Amino acid sequence: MGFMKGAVSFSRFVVDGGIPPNYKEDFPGRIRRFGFRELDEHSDQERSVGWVEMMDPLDSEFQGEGFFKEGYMALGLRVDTRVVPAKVLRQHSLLAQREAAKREGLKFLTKERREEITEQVRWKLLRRTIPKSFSYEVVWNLKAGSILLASVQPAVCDLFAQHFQKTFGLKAVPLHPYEMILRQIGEKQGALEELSRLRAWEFQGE
Amino acid sequence: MELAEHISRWRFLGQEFLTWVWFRSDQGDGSLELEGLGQVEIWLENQVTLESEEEDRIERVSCSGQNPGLREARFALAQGKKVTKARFRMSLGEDEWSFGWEAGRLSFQSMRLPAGPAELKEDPDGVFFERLKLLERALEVLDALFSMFLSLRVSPAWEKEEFPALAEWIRQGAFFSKEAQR
Repeated sequence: MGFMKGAVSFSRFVVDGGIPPNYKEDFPGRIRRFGFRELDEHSDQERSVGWVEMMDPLDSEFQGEGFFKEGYMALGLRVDTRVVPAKVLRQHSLLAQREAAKREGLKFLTKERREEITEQVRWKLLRRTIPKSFSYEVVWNLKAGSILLASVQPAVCDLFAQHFQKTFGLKAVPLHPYEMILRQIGEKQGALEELSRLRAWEFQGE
Repeated sequence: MELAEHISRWRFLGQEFLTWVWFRSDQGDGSLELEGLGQVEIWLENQVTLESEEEDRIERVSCSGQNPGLREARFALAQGKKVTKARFRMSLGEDEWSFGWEAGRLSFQSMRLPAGPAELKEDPDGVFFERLKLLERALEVLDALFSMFLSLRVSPAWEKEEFPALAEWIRQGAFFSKEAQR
């Protein structure tokens, strides 16, 4: 399912400002630099976000420049996340706190000490957690400055906009009703003021 | 203003727009003439979600089914609930699309595109360009529809003609439902 096959769910963005004239030379390096990196199992990193080949989420090497497609750019945004479930963390943390209190001959642990133990436990468990991995197709019409992202989740839309700006130094603005209004009326004198006075219609239900 | 505030502030316009498309699709043969694009037919398919919000309490009604009028949904609308999601089918020339539309962000859910030429199936780039062309075509039509709504919404014709007709259509929904219950 996606832009290449079947039904597709997506959100729209518009790029603020134009692309640089040397984008064909400039963009490939940026894409590789902000390509996806596996989560380091020795770190406490909870999420990794980066570009992959649109049709192959396991490929972030970008050997060729297949992402350029005659006026479009096609990429995948891969998001890997690992989270220790709250219940598991609570149980393991309680056990570790009891052991620490016994070892240190204390009846109670201070709040700071309990938090310190919880953090250590979280980190230990995080390294054993298998990440959840998702990839979202992205199609950028370079001429029109419009982007389609194959997700309707607001959290994914935010991650995409952040990573896009980090990579290309350009702002991807979500195309929601207000943005559509701005783009349609452009610089028309007084039109925005007139629209900002708009209020929801009043309809008295039966 | 932050993005979330913008979305929340202007959500009503997305809700009104979806309701207006539903209303227009229910008038006559459901076709609309869009400048530069020709005759477009759009109609509510079989799913609509409505919400009402009172004192921070949200009440949601989801209607789906084969009844083309979706009477329960029309009744909910007459009760003052607002459309938050709806599934439409649209045709332009020989092409037909179906898609779910969400009012807050105007994002699309499960958009089905017209089938492309069979000979492209073995050519991934061919499929990509064909599907993108069909998708962008649909967006062009839907943007024109939004533009049409927006122009109307701020014009004197809205208060004078369009809104009274729409309000009457909403009221009829309550009447149909009462008739059905008898």
